[in-house]
Amino acid sequence: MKAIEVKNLSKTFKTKVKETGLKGSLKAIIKPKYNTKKAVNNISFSIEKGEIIAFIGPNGAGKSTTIKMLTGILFPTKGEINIMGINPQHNRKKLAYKIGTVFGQKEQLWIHLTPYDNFKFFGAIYDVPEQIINKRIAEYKEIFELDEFINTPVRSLSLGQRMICEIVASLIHEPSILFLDEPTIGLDPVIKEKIRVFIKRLNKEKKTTIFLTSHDVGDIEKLCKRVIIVNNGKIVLDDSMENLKYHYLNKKIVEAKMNTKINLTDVEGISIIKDKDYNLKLEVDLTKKNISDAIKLLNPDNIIDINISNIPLETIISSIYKGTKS
Amino acid sequence: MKKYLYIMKTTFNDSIQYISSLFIRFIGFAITMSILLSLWTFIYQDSTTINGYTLKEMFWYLLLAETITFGSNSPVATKEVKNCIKSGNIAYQINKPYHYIIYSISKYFADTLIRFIAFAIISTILGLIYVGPIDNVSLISFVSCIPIFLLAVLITGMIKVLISLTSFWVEDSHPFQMIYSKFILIFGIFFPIEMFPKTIGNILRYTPIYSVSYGPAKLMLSFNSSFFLNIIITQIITIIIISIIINIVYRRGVRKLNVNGG
Repeated sequence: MKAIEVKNLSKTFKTKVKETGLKGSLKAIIKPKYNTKKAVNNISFSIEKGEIIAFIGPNGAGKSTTIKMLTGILFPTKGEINIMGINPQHNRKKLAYKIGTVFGQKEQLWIHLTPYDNFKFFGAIYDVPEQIINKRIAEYKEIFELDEFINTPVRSLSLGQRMICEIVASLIHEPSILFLDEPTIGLDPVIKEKIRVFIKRLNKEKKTTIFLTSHDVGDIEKLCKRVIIVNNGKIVLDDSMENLKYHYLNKKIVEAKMNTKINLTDVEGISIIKDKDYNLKLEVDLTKKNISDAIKLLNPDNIIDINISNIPLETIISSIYKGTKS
Repeated sequence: MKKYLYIMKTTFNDSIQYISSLFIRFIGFAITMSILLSLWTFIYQDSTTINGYTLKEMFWYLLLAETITFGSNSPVATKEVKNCIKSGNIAYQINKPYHYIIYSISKYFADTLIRFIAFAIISTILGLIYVGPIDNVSLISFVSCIPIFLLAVLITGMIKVLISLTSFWVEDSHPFQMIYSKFILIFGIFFPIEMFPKTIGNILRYTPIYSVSYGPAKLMLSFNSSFFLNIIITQIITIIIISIIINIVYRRGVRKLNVNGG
């Protein structure tokens, strides 16, 4: 069953342009000029129920605009959206019961109230019966170890604690789809890991569909089985994480510490990325050469230490971004 | 309806966290009222009544009208709605299972209720100290005036929310709020409608001033059932008209909402 279906979706924004200086400011008041920008340009995709997908792209690619259209906040200029049979723009209220949203850079909690009061509030507005709210609060309290701060006003919480509370607040009505817009932004590795483990558990146990946008490759790598990459408002890649790695991880990095300094030059399939004193870093194109060829080139007897690794996913993603830059 | 009552309850809970800030406003209110009393005492030095108002009635009129203004001065309907639209936080609000406008007004009403009650008590104390109790006020007329005052507070909030909604189009809705509050101050608080030339007075009767300021204050001073009915009907009509306008403006605003990417 499809959880999300998007057909030929576009969104155009009109932004005011102003010339520099006082003259420009006055001109902008008297005769304003506008630029139109296609933030989202004719994209189509569908997501099955229970999938975890990463919807990623560089800044200004159209990720957040897409999420906001999917959640009924923005009206598309063109195209169709279907979220579990609901049109977000026509039935925003009905959709609200089915989805949860966490925008990493926006707050939804009442800062003078405690997380407990906030959870009760969100439960009440989603018409969740009192008993169930209490049960869910107890459940999340245990998962996220909320005991320590559940009765502290939100304004006094750390960023990580707040984000955990934001996630819990958006899950109190048990949505079928969870939209996460940069949920781990600015968080320390421990909290990030805690959130990732929880999202995985949520998806596994409750079959919640997760729609994630993040600049954090760790989030994408550890959570998602499918990646949609957008750039300049268009989808440039829609593939499984496995395929992405298979197609793009056909290169390995060989880092070696040498006993004596050797002079190497690039050969077909092996290029030198770094050559400093006794340390060498090579990139091996596995479609052309094997790792053993690289080791032979270095001379195994001359190697003190060696490390062979994949190209980081971050590098792959940024190369896809760069490759699609208009 | 249940969830809006819960929103009010939560707001009430939220507002009492910073209730101490109200005490500073009490000082401002007391100073303003003392200055106005001195001014009116000076104006009244050569006559006992002006356009049908004795000094005592005039001072109570000021106190009652100011109570509505000070009492309804909640940032929820002004700053909060404006900032919510400007910052993009409205994204969080409009995809919740409530109507954002009813949510905002519920929040405003709960927040303002605490202020209104507090200022009503202060006003009563000031009135009793400076000029003594209102003449001919009975328990029935006092109780009957309560819904009129509450509706006045509600209408004030609705007008402020409506003004804040202009933030969908303009950079800052604050100047419009200023114009509105000055308009109310001059035509609704400082001078009762009877003080203006007949033509202006007649026009003012068809403005929100009649519902939010003049009507409730005047009713408390000279209660009669037909005047009560007149005001409550006017208030209900005002609420209907403002609701329709808010709905149109809000729908249009949301359609052109431009939340910057994150």
